[in-house]
Amino acid sequence: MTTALRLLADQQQAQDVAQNVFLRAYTHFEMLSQSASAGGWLKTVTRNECLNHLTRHRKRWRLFSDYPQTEHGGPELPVEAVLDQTWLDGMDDARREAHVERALAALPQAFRVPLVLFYFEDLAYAEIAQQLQCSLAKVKTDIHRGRLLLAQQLGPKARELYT
Amino acid sequence: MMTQHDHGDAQLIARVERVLRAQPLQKAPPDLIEKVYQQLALNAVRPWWQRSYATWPAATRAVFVLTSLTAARIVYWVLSSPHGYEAPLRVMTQLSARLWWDGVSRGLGRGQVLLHALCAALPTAWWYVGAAVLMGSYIVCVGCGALVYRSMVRSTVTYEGCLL
Repeated sequence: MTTALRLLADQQQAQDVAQNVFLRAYTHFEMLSQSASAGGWLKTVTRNECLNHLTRHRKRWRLFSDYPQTEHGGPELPVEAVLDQTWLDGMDDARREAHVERALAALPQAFRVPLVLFYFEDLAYAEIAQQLQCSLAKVKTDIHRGRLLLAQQLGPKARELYT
Repeated sequence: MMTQHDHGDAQLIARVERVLRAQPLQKAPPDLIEKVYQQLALNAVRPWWQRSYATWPAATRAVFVLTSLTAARIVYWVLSSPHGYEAPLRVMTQLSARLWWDGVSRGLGRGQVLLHALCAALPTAWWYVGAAVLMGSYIVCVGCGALVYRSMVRSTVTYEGCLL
């Protein structure tokens, strides 16, 4: 569920994917019940389902989409400006965790997905490039920009909007 | 030698890594497992024709395969013969005559004559041009629809981008 939520950034879609994954696990129950890697199987299937869902959604709405074709929502601050900000200071654990999840969900899909695959699915750059069917250079660029934009989200200006 | 920019990047990577690695797993909604059980129960009572081919009864699968092969053979026969479209019409005309469907039989007979005359009168190239025109019109309609939607129907656009 965590994997689906972070990749899709949508509660309902994540629930649908999780439900489909459990239904598939049921049909493979005999194999999984005797396998030590059942958890890994579930995670891998969830990841693939989410990526397929994102690809289908992107292809379906490319022609009629309401979303502009820009990659992100606005100009990026330089690294130094982002690092100068205080992140998550003075927040208790629950609020901090919720704020980070919100910031992650607010990232554009193009940056959020490789970031999640790198930090939470522990995939290498090459594996991410293979999964997303793009070049290694693009993955590195997207992850770097994702870090920058996430850092902006975690800064005090963004935090004010949620407090 | 590490430049200030590289040092900044390294710090950024370290800080983001620290924040993200500290995130715990999220709990699934409490009704998720119930929904899964409900769906399993619904799947269990579905009739065979709503399930995958692999779960069909053996006899049904055999009939399906035979019917598909027969249909494919008929299609090949129609397409490969010089006036392939006439053969099915002839068969249907004869069949309806045997079943005393006089009206249907006469209609099909006239249709056969008309179709034969039309195909004889029109050059083959016209059929291909006609198909190309139809396909082009369809693509233009879809493209125009998309253009109209994006330019006129779409109002304020918000994209869940970054907050500044």
